[in-house]
Amino acid sequence: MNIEEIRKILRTNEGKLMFAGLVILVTLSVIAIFAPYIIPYDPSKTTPDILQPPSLKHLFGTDNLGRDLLSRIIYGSRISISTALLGALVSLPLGVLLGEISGYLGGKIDKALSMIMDSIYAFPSLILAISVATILGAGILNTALAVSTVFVPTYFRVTRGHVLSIKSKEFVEAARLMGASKVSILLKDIFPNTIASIFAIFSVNTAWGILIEAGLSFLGLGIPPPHPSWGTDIRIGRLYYLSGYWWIITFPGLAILLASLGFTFFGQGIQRILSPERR
Amino acid sequence: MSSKSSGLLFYIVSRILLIIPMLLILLTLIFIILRVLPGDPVYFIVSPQAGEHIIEQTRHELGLDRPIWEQYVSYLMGVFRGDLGKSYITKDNVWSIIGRHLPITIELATCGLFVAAFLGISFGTFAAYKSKSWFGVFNTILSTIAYTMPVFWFGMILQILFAIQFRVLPATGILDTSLSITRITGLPALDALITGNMRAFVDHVARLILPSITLGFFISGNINRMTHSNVLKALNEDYVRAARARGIKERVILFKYALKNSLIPVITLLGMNFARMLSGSVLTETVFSIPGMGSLLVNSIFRRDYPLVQGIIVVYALLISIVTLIIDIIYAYIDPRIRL
Amino acid sequence: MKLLDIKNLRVYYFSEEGVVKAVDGVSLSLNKGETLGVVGESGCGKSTLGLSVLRLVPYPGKMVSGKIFYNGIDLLSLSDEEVRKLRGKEIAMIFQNPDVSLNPIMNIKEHLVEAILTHEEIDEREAVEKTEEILGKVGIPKNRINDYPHQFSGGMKQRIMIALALLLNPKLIIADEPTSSLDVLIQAKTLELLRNLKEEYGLSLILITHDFGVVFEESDRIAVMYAGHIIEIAKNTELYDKPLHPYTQALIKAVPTVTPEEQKLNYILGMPPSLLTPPKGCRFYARCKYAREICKFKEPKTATVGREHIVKCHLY
Ligand SMILES: Nc1ncnc2c1ncn2[C@@H]1O[C@H](COP(=O)(O)OP(=O)(O)OP(=O)(O)O)[C@@H](O)[C@H]1O
Ligand SMILES: [Mg+2]
Repeated sequence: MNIEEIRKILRTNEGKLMFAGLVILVTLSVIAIFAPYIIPYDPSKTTPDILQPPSLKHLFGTDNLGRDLLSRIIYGSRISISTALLGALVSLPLGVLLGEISGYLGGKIDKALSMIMDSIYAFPSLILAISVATILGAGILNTALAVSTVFVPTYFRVTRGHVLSIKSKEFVEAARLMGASKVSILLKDIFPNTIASIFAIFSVNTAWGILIEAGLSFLGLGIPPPHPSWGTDIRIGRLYYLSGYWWIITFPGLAILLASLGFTFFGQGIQRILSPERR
Repeated sequence: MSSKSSGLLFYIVSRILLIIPMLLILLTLIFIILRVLPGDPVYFIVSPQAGEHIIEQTRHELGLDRPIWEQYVSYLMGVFRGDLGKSYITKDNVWSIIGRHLPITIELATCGLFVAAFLGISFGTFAAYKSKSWFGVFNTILSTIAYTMPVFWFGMILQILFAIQFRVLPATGILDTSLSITRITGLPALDALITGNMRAFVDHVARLILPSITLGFFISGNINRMTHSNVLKALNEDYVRAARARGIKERVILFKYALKNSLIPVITLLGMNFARMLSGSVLTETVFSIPGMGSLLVNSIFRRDYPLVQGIIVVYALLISIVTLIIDIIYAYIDPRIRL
Repeated sequence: MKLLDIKNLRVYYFSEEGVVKAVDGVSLSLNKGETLGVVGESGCGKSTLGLSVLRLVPYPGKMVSGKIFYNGIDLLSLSDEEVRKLRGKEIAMIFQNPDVSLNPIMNIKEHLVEAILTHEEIDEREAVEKTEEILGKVGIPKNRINDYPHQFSGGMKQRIMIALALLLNPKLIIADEPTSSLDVLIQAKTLELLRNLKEEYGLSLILITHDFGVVFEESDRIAVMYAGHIIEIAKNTELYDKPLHPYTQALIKAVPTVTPEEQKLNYILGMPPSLLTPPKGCRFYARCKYAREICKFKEPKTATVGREHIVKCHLY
């Protein structure tokens, strides 16, 4: 891919949205990484200034314990995003491996695996995550694991599709004729070719992970309270937002929306660029 | 004519047969999550400090002391016999508890579906028609926001706006405490109509508006995008150009040629979105205090009512399988290429 | 009077890669009752020319300049609605690929009845009668009227497209490669059907094709197109006996007369120029046997040689 091609992509609407997604992601990463240095207040320090509306002193207002919401949201980006990233990452090897095996071997194994994956995919993701979270209990790692179960089929699908489409291509055929083992063909020839698509799915899944984490935490099944997470902040705000304290849920929600929008625009942009229609 | 309908019948039967493995896989998945994953369901009900005796007794009551495969078989048998056990808290039959909550979720999901279809199809079609204008880009952003947005947060924002700020709609609940609806079908709106209880009907419908918009907007994202891109694609089809060359009116081309052809895949999408709708309904019901399946699930988790939790998830699996089947059949019915 | 008169038409596609000058200064006219063949290699702008007459050039194409008169009416000055009323009713078009030219979810009757009711105020029963009559003429049995497009063969679908084109007795039909997606036997039958119906209905026909054999078989006059230009127009026999433009001469040699091998031998070397950056001089320069210095820099004017024989070449 050269400069000219990238320019051309950026001129399309999808390209622009992808770029916007990238900008959001970079900004969020910087905020998350440097959170301790940019927060105006200690995110978990309670003060007597409870339920203050947004002002110059507290840009996003304060919560029921007088904690600065802006600082909580900045700090919360660390937990919300890393939980989602972890969830999207943990499921990746399993999904990719099964997808490669299924697509490469074909036959009955492929049929059975596809059926299982389709069934899991058809099941409501949040409810699946709720079930896992219920059994594993609340906690950051458990939340990430709960989130990850729903992603296995997405990696499976894209990998399997890719494997099927390139399996017949010449270089794989050549490698096979030269006596390469199945495992080495899978790892050396097929995996690199699917990496870009998997990366796109990874990005979209992270967006989805942010939403599931937020949903779990909102229901009280995700990140437990002392840690600032966007979903947990909204859960805390539940008792107050109908009494006129609108800011207490509005800003954490906007943060969730922005983060998942960033990952989605970015991931979908890559998917579009890679799509065969485009090539 | 008869060969046509027997073809359709054959199709339906083959679909039903295909649904059975799907259901079995889902039930097995649920079993694995609830019984095989680390974490002992007993501690779900009694605290680890409760004492050896009580723990063992509970384990026995739940049948958790039997070998795992025996538990699996009796679990499956139970599901297919229609026996989901008894609530650990109220001792009621799990089916009958679910029977009280399921219709409410069905009502919400149906309303949400209508909102979603209306928003998604109208915005998507218009955006495709005006794809060269700003509206095309705007719609792409809007539809992406719709499905990357935290549903519960959107519901809360609507409550703040319409219940607190403008005071035009109630914020929570499905019926004013001063009213009641006699239960016949379980669907509150329908029951209120049947019994001629207009005051309750109006109150109930008013309370359904915000949750339906919440759920509907969330689901509309996918439908919108798919309609948008399909109509766009259809408008570039040769048959559209040929129709234009015959002087067919633009309006007819947009609806009868482009949209109608695009709707067939959108209907499949509705089926795939049913799962998202159930996920969304758990959160929507929680925000709006609607006593449906989602609220029931969340409450029974906090009350640590293990048999009820398992029963609810199993019912979700049944629902998914049934809806998948129905969508397949509708699909076959409307597409002349499959109908044969 | 001339039925159709195209004057110095330019149609450009403003694509992401740049401006594609698909039709670049074309003048052409059509007499009543005549069949005019438009022939040229793939990509030279034939379809674009045909679509312009119906004002159906797709985005990002635009008619940049020129005029199109139909029966004396300036088509480019009409409103969208006025043009729509002409489409199908006065001027009809038949496209290359019948497999994708019918709406897959509408049956044949719906297609025809819809077209009739769009343009004529008659009741549905009459429309159905008319539909059955026209389908009879193109040889589609009455009992298949409720069938869907996927239930017909390619040849049958093209006959249905012909029925749709003839349905409202238009005066002009533009047929854009109507047979090139059909196999040879059906090609001949379809062309024969079209020829007979043209006589019966007293139509004028513009037949667009890349097949010189077909064009000599079917047309009264022939226009040869090359890279967005019309480089030669003449009566059928005149063009065959006395081709003036080096490109036409080469093409006529390339018509498969004996064996495919011979055709290959005679084929013109090289490719037509890109329409994104057409050469400044004659567009055929790079492939021309007779190319001279002037051909490289100066675009040839159109010259009239003899009676109604027009050629665009520095040799004349
Ligand atoms: N939508 C479009 N955008 C950009 N360029 C286009 C578009 N449609 C056609 N063109 C270009 O315009 C030129 C003329 O196309 P046109 O379809 O009129 O040629 P044609 O002679 O009908 O070719 P064929 O024999 O392949 O049908 C071609 O070079 C083509 O690449
Ligand atoms: Mg063409």
